[in-house]
Amino acid sequence: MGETDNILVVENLKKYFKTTFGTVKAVDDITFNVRSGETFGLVGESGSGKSTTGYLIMGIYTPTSGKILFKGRDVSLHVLKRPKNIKKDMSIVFQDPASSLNPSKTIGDIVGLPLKVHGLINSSSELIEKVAQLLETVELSPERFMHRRPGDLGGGEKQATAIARAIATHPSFVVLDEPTSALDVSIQAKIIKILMQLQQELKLSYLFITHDLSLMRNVASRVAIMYLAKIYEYAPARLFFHNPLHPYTKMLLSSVPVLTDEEEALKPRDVKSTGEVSSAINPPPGCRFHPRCPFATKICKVKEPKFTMAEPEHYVACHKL
Amino acid sequence: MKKIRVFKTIKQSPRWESARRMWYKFSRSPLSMAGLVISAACIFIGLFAPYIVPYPEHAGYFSNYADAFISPFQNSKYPFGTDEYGRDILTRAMLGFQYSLMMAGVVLSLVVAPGVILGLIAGYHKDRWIDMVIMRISDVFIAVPPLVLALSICAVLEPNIFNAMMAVSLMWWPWYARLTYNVSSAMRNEYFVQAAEVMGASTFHIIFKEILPNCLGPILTKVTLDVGWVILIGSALSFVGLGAQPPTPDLGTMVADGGKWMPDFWWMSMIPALGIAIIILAFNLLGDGVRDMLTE
Amino acid sequence: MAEQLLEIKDLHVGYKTYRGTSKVLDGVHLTVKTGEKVGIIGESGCGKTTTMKTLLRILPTNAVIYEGEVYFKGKNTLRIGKNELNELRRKHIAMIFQDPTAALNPVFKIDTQIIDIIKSSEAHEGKKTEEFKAKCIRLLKEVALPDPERVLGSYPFQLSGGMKQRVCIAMALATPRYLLIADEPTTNLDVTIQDQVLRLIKDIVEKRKLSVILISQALGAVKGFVDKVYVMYAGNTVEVAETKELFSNPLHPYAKGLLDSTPKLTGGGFSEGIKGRVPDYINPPSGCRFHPRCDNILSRCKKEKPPFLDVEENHGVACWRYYKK
Repeated sequence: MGETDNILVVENLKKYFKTTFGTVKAVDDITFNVRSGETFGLVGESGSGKSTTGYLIMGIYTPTSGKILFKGRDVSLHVLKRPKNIKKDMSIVFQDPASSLNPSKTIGDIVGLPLKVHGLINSSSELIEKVAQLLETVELSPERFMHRRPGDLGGGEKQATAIARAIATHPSFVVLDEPTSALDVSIQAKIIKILMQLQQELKLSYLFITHDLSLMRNVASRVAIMYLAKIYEYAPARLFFHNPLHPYTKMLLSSVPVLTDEEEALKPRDVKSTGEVSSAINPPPGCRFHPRCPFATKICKVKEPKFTMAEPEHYVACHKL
Repeated sequence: MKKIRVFKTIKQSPRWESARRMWYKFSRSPLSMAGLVISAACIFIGLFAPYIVPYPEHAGYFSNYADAFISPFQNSKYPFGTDEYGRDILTRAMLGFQYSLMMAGVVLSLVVAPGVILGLIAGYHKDRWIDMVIMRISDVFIAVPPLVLALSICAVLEPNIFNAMMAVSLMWWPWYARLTYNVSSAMRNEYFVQAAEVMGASTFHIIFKEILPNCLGPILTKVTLDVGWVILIGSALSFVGLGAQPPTPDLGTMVADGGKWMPDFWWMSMIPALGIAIIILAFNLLGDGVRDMLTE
Repeated sequence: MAEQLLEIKDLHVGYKTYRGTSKVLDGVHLTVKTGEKVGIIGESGCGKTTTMKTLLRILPTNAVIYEGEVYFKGKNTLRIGKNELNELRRKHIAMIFQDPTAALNPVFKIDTQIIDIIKSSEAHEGKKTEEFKAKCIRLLKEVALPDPERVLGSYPFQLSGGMKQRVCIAMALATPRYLLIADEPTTNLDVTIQDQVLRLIKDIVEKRKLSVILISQALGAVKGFVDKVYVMYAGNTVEVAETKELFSNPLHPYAKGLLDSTPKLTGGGFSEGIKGRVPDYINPPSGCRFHPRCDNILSRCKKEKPPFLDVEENHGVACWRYYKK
């Protein structure tokens, strides 16, 4: 793992929720880092803990244990306790565009709020100007959208508004939690284009969370895969997709619906999708994937695998290797 | 640098869009429109009663025994008849509307703001101690049967319309706290509230500028429906003698007084009772309409 | 020679709203033969679900059917009476919806719900509860649900998304049908579960020789499943072709744009989407509804709506650029 210029480092992060059914281990000892200017991808299905990881980084949840270091500073606190300049520097785009915008406010109010909160403007005319600029960077024409309410907008436009709000304070790091999962494919393309452009212009670092592997292939430079609260493989994108090592990675890749023959050829042949994700309250002992793994052996049921470096920058946690 | 002045004109259209949509929805229901019209008529009567009643002097102590006990619908002089003192029932009923609506107005003005604020605070801090404290206190007030509470307060203090209003207010506020609490605590975990927290907005801003505007719908519906209910409770208090005192022309008092003349001189009770029924029905229909209008 | 099972001709359906009438379907064409698997792709709001609802006559009260005919097994379903309609819904066509949580009644156990369907669709005099229960267990085994007894005794909230959708599939196939409509059956499920459920539907359909209409936004899911694909945009059928042909040689600019916008697993980026937005159905664009978003329009595109015609062997499209007139 390169030490150069990590904007975010997550160390041994754990988050357990106490519920009436037991303790839900949503995130169970994960470690990774995001380099400055890169798009780090976190992929996984439901119950993997990927969204919870994003919320922990943003401070929406407080870690049960472990550390989150942002630009070297320990920020493992709830967001209400974090210093304001940190809040200005990190932002998040949520998964559901409809509920991430206050339905009773106008687009102008929504996008202008971070500017007001951090005191970045001195007058209301300056506010309108800055908001108009932000709306234009996400390809929403200010004349048409400034005074509309979220209910009048389509999904893509709502998400563009959420993005404008997220970059309003010129942060350096943005968590993108399934930003396009709720959108049609042609609108997804537009939003991704806007995100990539913004990344270049504003030198942003992204934590990109999604379950869509085809999308991930085209946006992330490094990818980590999560299953039942733990990371099992991470590698640069090319290696992750062309040489997947962990059986779960292979299972996920082989399940992706693809259009072309080249993509079909890329899919692993030796693992077919089976079974369902177990409960996070009582995860299987040892390697959590063993109930669904075609290669599971005795040790997999007992001992948790440790990370080994399979090739430069490519780490896997699996007893098979 | 593009000119942004065009906003001022565009402003009109989208802002009123949702209002127009809601009016369309409301106006398609004949019952809601009937409720609106009748409520508006009641409010009009309530506001201008002293100026439009045929016999303003019949409000207080007055006697004209020559014209007593005239039955209604007989002549145009006293369209709804007269009572045992010769006072015009129509006049007194219309003035009674004024008292009823005044009671509703005062009680709701006193009760809505504190109840809503407490509910918002409790909802935002759901599952923490301040939530427990506020909501358990409001639970205590809700648990006591409303009329009993009002009766005991009025029995201790001097029975008059002012104390009746205080009593009703005291037992009414928790309903607003509870309503607001339910709406705001559900909203508390929505992404847009998280987004405001994450960006560093103050708690005051989040509670009053993010959450509250979305609660106004159910609150408005409840206020509209409550007009009818407050009037009913107020009339019940007057009926048992704990609200307005004779000779004040309050609908409940009139029903009580006219009770001893039943069934021969039925109009002395029935007309004010009908008045109560109409006002409650009107505000209920209006409230239903408002609720349908605000729900998608 | 496979017979024509379903034919939708030039369907026009609208909804009455406060701002006017929203003309959603503006000429939808669809044919399904017995045993054929047909896919419909198109983005949200294009009218796919409205078309299916029209077929089953479960449209909301403010819907208006202006024109068009829907023939199912030779009968015009828009004109049949209540009894025949019930027969259609109970015995001929089954539908699987997108959200299994919403499709199952939360206050009844699974066995009650499946038995209700069996009871309503076939003669059941003389059949006892045990027979119904046995049938339910057979059905659940067929959809690869482990531990059918436990599932039958559960409420929907006790099951996972994948299990609920399998229950819905079992319910759809509880009685013999001619046509299965699957409206985005796997969109709400995890990718690995999606794969399993689609394979399951494919197996069952092939075993029972059912006709299927699969509606999905996931183009890849449709590709591995159906024989023929329709592309819909803004209430119009804009292209139809055999699966392989459509994905390798899309003709309509919208179909091309859609395929280009799909990210590929092999990397290499994807297009910037299709410019513009979905039209307002209350004031739709004149002529071809796609023209404001199309990169090379003819003057004719703004004035006249292109008809839906075959321009190559078994490849139909609604676009002026392809007509040799």
